[in-house]
Amino acid sequence: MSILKVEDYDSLRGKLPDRTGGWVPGAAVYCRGYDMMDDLVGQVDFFQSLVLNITGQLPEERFAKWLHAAHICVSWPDPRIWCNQIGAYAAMARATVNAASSFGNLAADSVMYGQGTLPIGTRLIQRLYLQHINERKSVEEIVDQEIERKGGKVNIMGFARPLASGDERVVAMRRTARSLAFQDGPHMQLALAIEELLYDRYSETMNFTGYLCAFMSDLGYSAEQVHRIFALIVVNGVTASFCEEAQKPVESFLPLRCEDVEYTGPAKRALPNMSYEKS
Amino acid sequence: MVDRSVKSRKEPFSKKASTSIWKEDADESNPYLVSKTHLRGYSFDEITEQCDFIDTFYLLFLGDLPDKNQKQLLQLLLTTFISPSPRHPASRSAMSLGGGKTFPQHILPISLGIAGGEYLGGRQVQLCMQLIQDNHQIRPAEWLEQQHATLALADESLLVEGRIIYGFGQQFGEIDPYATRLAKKFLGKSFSGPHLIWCAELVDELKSYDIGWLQTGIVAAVLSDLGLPSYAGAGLFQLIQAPGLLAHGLEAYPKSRTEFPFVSDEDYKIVDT
Repeated sequence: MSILKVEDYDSLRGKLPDRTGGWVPGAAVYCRGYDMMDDLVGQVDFFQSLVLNITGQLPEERFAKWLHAAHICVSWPDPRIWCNQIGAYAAMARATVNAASSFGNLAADSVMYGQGTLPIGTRLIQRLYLQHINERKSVEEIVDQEIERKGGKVNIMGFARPLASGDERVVAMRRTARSLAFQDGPHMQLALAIEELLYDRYSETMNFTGYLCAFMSDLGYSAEQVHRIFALIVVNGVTASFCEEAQKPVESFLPLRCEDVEYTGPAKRALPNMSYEKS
Repeated sequence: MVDRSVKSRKEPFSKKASTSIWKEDADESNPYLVSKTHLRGYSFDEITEQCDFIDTFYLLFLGDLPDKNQKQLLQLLLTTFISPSPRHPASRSAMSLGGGKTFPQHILPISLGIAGGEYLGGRQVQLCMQLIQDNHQIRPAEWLEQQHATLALADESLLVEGRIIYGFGQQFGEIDPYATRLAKKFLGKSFSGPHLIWCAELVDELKSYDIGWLQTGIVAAVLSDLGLPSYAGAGLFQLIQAPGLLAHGLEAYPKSRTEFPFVSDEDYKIVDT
């Protein structure tokens, strides 16, 4: 990015030059060189247009089908999941569905799960792949190095997961990728080799983030592009949790008695003399 | 052969959430209703009668009542940064939401989200607090010397955005004189703390890089002096700026959409049609 000076800012006041798309009233709506109404609407998939807006390239249809599958398999109607719970609370508070879906989706900008893990996982598998190829590090050396980096914990982004071991989503997505004739590329092959070693040693497997980041890396996407493409990946489950709870009486989602929140603070105490502030 | 079948870890989750902030005594007839409340051990009835907003704010976040210096420092912080500039992206978002007739309940959360960014936002405050708290035992000149190799290779645009030495950079191509002026309000006072003084010394050293205070750097230093952890910085910065953001959004709400600029078709250039 270039550094701007005052005269550069002045030239931009009230102006939006060099746009990749937009509305020309009476003519057309343009997007990356396409006439949206004639070339895109009814012709391409939503995810193709999303990737087009993010990368400037219209991807092939089978990739959009894979993206659809990825969005379905990671977004469940289970309000125990942290982001979905926001949807349920929004319903209980009688907030709008937009608040539920937007804020629930935002909740997954987390380092524990959801979209927040994707740029981290993508950078990691791309870095490890470079070490594997350029520095000729073996899979064993890579795993040892990453475990050492995490103070001896088996905490490598993209492998293992909270609540359970194993990952049914990876099974479903690999089946989907095969049915769409996607082959395992070099990042996926490395991720699978890391998984095999982790499974042998610790019975831990690749998780959805690991699978997705390796797959997207093989297609040449950057960490930032992966974060952007999957920005709405949990919205389906959040909206489901909102809709289910919106049918029910207020306060009925996991109701809490006063005693159900444990107080761990100071014992009851008297206020000190607050008169110093008036002096 | 890797077996990806799912097995629950059967993690020992707690039966109850816990808090050291707020205690609710249940009503005798209905265990879901409240009869009395205590904040950090103090009767909330007494707090509402004897404490002011600053005392209560400090108690809520820091666990105890402030002494005179702590109170003055917090008061100055909350007052100084109560509203970002109307040209800040978060304020402009709030005004746009008002002008766009977005449901009023969304004005604050949306604009606060924008105020959470890594440039002049909450994330920058958090990262700056981490930088200050990790390094304030080293003299600023010495610390900067240690960073020499990193800074030589740093992306210049990130450096001026305050995203290399978080909280210190430029605005519109120059050191921000207004942020420098605001920083002076906190310096040389009985409540000026060691993190702020360290940052002021750092700013002197940063002149050779043509970068200086950003407002986020001041907030980060003061929050550190108040004893808050870095992860609290993002949200507290948003909270401090919330009144101003909401005020801008509410002011915009009754206005017609034509009372806001809309880039003309002549000034909107599509490069690829």
